[in-house]
Amino acid sequence: MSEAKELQELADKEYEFGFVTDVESDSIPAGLDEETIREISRRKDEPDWLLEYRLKSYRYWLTMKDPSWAKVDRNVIDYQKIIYYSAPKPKKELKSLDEVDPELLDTFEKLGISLDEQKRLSGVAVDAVFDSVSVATTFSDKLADLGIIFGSFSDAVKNHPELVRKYLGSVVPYTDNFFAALNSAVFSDGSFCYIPAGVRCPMELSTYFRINAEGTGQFERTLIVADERSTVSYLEGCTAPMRDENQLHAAVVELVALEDATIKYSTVQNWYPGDAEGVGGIYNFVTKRGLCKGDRSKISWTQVETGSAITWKYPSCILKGDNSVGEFYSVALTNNYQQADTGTKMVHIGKGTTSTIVSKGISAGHGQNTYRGLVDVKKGAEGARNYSQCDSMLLGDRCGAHTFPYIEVRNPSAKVEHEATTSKIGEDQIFYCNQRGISTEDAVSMIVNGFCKEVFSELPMEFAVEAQKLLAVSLEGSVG
Amino acid sequence: MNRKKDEMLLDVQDLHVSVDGTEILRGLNLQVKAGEVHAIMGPNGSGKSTLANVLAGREEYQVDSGTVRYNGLDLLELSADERACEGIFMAFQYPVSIPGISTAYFLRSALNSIRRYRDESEVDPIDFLEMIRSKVELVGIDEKLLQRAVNDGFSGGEKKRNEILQMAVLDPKLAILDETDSGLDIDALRIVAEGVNSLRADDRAIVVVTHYQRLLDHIIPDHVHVLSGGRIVRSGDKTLAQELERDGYAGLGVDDARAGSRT
Amino acid sequence: MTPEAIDSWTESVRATAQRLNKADDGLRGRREDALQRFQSNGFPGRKDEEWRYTPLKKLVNGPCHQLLPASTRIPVQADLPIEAAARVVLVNGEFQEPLSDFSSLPAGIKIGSLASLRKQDSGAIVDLLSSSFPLQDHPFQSLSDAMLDDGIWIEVSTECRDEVATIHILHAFDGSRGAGSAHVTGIIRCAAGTRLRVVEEVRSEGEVLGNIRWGVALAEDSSLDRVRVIRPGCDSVFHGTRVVQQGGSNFHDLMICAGSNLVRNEVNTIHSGPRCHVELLGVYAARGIEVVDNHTTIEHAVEDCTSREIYRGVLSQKGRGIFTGMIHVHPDAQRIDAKQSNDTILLSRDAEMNSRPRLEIYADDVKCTHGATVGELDEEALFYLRSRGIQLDEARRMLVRAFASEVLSGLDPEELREFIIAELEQCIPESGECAP
Repeated sequence: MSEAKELQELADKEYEFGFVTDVESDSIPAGLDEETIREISRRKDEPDWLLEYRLKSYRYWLTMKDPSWAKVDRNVIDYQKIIYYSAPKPKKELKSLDEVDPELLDTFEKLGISLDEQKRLSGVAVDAVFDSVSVATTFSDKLADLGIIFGSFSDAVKNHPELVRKYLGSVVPYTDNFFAALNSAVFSDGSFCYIPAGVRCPMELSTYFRINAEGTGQFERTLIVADERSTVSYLEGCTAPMRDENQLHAAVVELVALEDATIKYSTVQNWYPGDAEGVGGIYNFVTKRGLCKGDRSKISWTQVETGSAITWKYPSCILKGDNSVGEFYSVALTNNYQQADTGTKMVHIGKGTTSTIVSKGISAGHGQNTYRGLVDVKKGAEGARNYSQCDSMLLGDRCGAHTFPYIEVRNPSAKVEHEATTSKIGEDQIFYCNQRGISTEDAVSMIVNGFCKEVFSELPMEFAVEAQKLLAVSLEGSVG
Repeated sequence: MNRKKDEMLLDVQDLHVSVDGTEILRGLNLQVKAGEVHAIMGPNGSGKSTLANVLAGREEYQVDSGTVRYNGLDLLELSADERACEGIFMAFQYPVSIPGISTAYFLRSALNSIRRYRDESEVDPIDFLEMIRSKVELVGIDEKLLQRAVNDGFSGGEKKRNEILQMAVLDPKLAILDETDSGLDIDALRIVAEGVNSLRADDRAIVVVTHYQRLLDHIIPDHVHVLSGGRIVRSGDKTLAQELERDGYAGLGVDDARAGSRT
Repeated sequence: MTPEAIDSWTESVRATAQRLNKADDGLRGRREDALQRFQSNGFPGRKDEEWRYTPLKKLVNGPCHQLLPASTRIPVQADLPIEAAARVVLVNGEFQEPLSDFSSLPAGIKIGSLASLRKQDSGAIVDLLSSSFPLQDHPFQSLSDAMLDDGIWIEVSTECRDEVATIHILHAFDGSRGAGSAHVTGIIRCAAGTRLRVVEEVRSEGEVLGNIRWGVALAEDSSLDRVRVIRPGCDSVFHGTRVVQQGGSNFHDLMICAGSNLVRNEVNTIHSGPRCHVELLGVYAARGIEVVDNHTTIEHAVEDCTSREIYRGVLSQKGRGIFTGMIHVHPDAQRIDAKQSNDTILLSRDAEMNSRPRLEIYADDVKCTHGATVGELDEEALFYLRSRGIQLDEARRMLVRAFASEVLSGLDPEELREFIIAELEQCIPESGECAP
């Protein structure tokens, strides 16, 4: 069919964010042992308790096995070949954005993330993480007036050790899984955010992650605490240069929502996916979990996953507080040889807890897309409710779409519903669009966007537009 | 370029078309001039819908021989979306639904796609909404329908009116209505017909494909053709349709079952 | 699972295999392979995804590793109300000719015991087994293979194309004189265009493991309609079925299970020709500390096939249900239409359901859906019935009956359906006793 051919030509479109920034980086040699960890901690001038935490995690990690359970094929990772710390040079105290290396500002500019405070019109505060360190945070002074702490994790360790110490590892313990243990041992930087009681954060908080240096792993740590009756919406975006090695990204994100607090966490993940033959790309093995600690608290995860060679990621909610609410909205797209194994865990502990799961998987090329999710209703979760919907769309006959929900119910007053469907884009739908003057390529992207609508509508406006574009680019050349 | 009345718009010569190896059209000839309304009538399986779909560019239909000139172009060389951009519009017998995409967004995308093709500026959402409001009245549909996903959960009548609304917005040179009357009650039929009539213009031709004469009570054709066995077997003016209504296809010596089952 | 327990099983398996190998029936290789597999794998624990929720500990640590002695006493009668052309009785895994009745069996159907086939034609049995049961790491399959002694085979030839015969099979396990296990293999082969109906009944007395497996081969355009009833009061039952369907064939399976301690039901169907259809239906009830574990796989290996699956259960007291259902659409298996659903009603605080519907899809032009629901009886419906003067227990019974009847509605004859529903209802305690 001519459509197929036409679209195949578009497939060669390159990954837009694949450039390498030419900044000198200050790295420690590849390899991992206790000395590496001490060195990271020393460079970051960390307190002893944090070093102890790292070492404890490292020793535990040594006892664990690299997991093999998810439905993915991957190369064995040599943990001794990874550079665990890389920072753009020179590393000095930055007083303002003017002092940031122009190359770096340019990088984020190219990525569409303007760090230039003066020119910013939209109300988004950005923390930019380049390789292992946070390079700039915008609007932090303005936020500080409201008592909101937003900035790099390292700064938080220095300035608010009591908060970090209280919550670090409280949702994702270092024993949780192989990659969480590794992260707990070697994490370099990330974002920290605290919203005091009763404060509604007036702008979106955003972190932009960029892997640049060769051979590095990125192990960031994000911790967001929303105190009683507070509200925050947080966004993260990620890109990396094109390299034919598989770079590891093993982040840990912990969210804590106290009574009546709401956290909305949105991700647009566009790490380098590898080339059309499946060479290179990021291994995105991330542990994200939120604790709805207080009554009536709410945590909502929205993710659009279009990048990475492999994604393993299950942003989850522990619904501990009575009447707390967990949500998971996900779009995952796999093209070429990408593999995504993603989903969520909703653990209902408190009474009257509710959760909603909407997952949209799109598979194209040789892409493999798996939804894996757990809805766990514990004995005391009187009146718990869950509704899950997992829809898959297959574009082409060499890809795969898989749905593996786990439903565990121990309370009879609970009501759990799961539905899954699989579809493809109909020839007749394409023809209908063609007949109205819309090209096949636009028709496909329109129909796919329609398929993902319920998820995009959860994203903040500008992110939603970005996500739609990203999806269109990632899909190019995938249909025939 | 504006077409003037009576200029040749569509010229189909000795068209042979097959589907999955079965020949459906067997030497069809048809000439349509700007400003005219043609009715193509015929029993089930005569090839009416095939003709409509071939003109719109559906790929499952294999053109074995013959030529189709449209507005000075070799129509068969164009893809379906290029044909639409050149001004061909087909109102579908069974409009497909597209979940998640609002009718307004869909129609604006279509309009802008056609405008880009013609090197015209795109219409922004606000101007578009204003423009579409007047058209909505024309076909008597609820404006709320524009916010619903394309044809998703629409009733039969809503779907057909939505087709005419799209025709009004996209302003085609050649509109082909494929069994637009099927599934409509008499009131809906009248509204749809009125919509079509209001779109009659000197520079636009309309081809109405239908099994029954009743739509032609409301849309009076200039020419009526009877299609049977993949050919036009008789042509005449509107009285031919009345004759058919009175005597049936059999009265014309046309057998319903002759051309097999595909319409 | 204690190492000592595993040793007792291994020992028992080895001794039995050695004894049987003396018969020189061509199965030595198979038995040894299975023994090897069992020895190295043992029984699966919670870390094995396929057995994650299945509580095998009590069975494994208990006394069932011993083989049940041969017995000709039927500890329990076959009493399902059906007319059958033939009745087959197996006691402790052994085919009982005197108790069976083939007098009205149509000419084209042959039934025989595997024990006699082993003696008469070792080539035939080796072929039958290797085509029906590929060797694999599976604890109960390994037990069956390592200790393969008796069972039955049923062959429907093209001679009886116009007739649908019903064969009634009773598996009786007698543990009244001591705990133990029995391992039964059954094989069904339907020739092209033939149809067969099988009603299988499993009953037991005492502490036993009844380990049953079936290998079914359905040739082009043949059809098998099977009803399985695991009758109340069974101790541990493993029931496994592997079906290979050729083009245009039809497999219709209904599983009914209520009131037994531990039942693991595995059905694995493979569609290897186009236009196949499979229908997997199940109704289960667990009360007390009973566990019902249904584990199904549908392999859509080729194009243009369809499948329907509905499993529905009612759990009360500390009853536990497990459902794992895989629909696997292979590459190029286009135009598959597959629907799967698992619905469970929990009647008490301590009941528990673990449901894992699974879709694994590698072709794009397919329609696949699955759904799972877990919840209590519809409060509003219950209230509606009560507002019309129906008492709570009666209203509950009506709703449970309505819930189950969507699966059972196709079950003929009506007496059998009513019998099954009544028995199911007996396994659902009154509201006052729902909690443990």
